[in-house]
Amino acid sequence: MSASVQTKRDVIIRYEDVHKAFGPKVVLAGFNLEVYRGEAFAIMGPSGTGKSVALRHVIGLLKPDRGVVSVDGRNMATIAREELRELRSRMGYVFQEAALLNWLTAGENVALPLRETTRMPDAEIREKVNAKLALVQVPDVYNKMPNELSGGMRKRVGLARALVTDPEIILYDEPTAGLDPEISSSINHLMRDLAQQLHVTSLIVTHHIGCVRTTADRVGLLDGGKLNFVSSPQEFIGSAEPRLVRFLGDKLD
Amino acid sequence: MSSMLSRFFADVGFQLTLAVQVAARAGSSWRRRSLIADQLFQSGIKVVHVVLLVGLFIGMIVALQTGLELSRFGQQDQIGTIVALSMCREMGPFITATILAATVGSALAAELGTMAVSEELAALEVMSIDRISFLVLPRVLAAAIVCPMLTVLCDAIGIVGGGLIAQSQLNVGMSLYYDSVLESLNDRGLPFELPKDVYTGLFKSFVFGGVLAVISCAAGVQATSGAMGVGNATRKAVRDSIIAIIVTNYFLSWMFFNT
Ligand SMILES: Nc1ncnc2c1ncn2[C@@H]1O[C@H](COP(=O)(O)OP(=O)(O)OP(=O)(O)O)[C@@H](O)[C@H]1O
Ligand SMILES: [Mg+2]
Repeated sequence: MSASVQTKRDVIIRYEDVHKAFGPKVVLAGFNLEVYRGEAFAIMGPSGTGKSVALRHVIGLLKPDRGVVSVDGRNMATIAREELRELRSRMGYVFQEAALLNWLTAGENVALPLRETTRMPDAEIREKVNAKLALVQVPDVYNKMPNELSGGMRKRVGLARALVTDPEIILYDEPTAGLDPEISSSINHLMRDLAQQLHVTSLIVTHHIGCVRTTADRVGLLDGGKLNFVSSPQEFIGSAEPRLVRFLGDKLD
Repeated sequence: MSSMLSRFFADVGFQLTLAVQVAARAGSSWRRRSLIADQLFQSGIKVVHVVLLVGLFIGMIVALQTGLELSRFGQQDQIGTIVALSMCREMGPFITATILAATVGSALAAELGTMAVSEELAALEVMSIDRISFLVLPRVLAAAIVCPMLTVLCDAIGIVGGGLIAQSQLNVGMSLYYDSVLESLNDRGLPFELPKDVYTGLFKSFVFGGVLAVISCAAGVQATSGAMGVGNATRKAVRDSIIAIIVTNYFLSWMFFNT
């Protein structure tokens, strides 16, 4: 894709020189990224480099110390409460550890955003929840409590919860970590279908090269607080860049 | 020293803000009735036996301590009045609230702390679900309702405990004891049927219940991640609740009886 074509595309998520530290610990230092509308962008990187921290900025859970994170042209650090609410209603967030409420059943967890923020009738909510649970391949868990489910199942229920409001932008924090290869692959295909058929914009944090191959249009490596080597998955994987080779070394086989 | 002081003010500020935010959402109580009912059960039923046991012994202690003094002056007939008034005014509300702080308060802090650490609170935030109305309001209201209910039990069993001591240690007959209890708790011409000693005690309980729940929820939602996070939040919840109950107790007592 040539540069001139890229500049014409509509940027929906923009990080501009983002800095973030927790006390003395510097996590992001000059993080830059533009994600285009309808694109699937993957962030890879060693553990503890700040991938989750970067993702949290997009939905306003964290504010940068310096720099700007904007979504659809609006600065997430200064956005008005009502606008933030509206913007968040168009986004879904898949948490790394699912983050289900343990006193609600799996189905009620998925139903929660609809119950709390819409006036949708009960029957319709149930139908929708069951459809999303089937989509992530855990069809029979509506009445199970989260602690009766395996980690991988909880993760998929968390994914169903992020999808239940039919968001335009989905932020995935390691959507396939801890899932077996078969389920991982089907989740990857689900993510790709959402992007291709429903034109969802995806920002995906992942350790799995398979996930990048299947789902991502572009990918970058987060290291030293910055995003480097932004390129297509093929270029990324085939790169001779020593740092990339080292990072990808154990993941390619 | 100055950092401790600024921590203290920051904590109190956070607790007061939370209290105001809860009060501002009181209107959604009806919508939250099923969550409130859950919490009533969680925080009420599970501590009834503790309240009964402790209340019984507190009544016995009061009767023993004051009764032996009274009997030196031949005034042991007054024991029913003393036990009834001290249970209803002070012991019942205070002891019940302290028990709730240690049981319900610590459980609230642990529960919300775990939610904070496991990103469940963040998940509610990104779904634009009002965490105060959804999580804090039901817990605070339930505690404020449960605390006076348990206080009634504590008062009653304390009076029974006092009666046991009156009869066995002080040679005051049961009927004399209960007559003096009833007389001391009789209406003193106030606009309510309940005597002032009882309803001020119950009002104090109501406030204590709300205070301990707000403080415990505040400690929980502020829990930081890491192995110690939830443990620290729990400890802080119980400590701060008990301090706040005592301080509030002084001011409410002063308000009601300072005439
Ligand atoms: N709220 C916080 N307070 C203090 N430090 C934090 C906080 N959140 C993250 N960190 C620190 O920031 C660094 C990056 O964390 P982050 O969770 O983003 O890593 P990650 O790249 O997602 O790692 P992983 O692949 O293991 O999930 C870590 O060192 C972490 O300890
Ligand atoms: Mg992470």
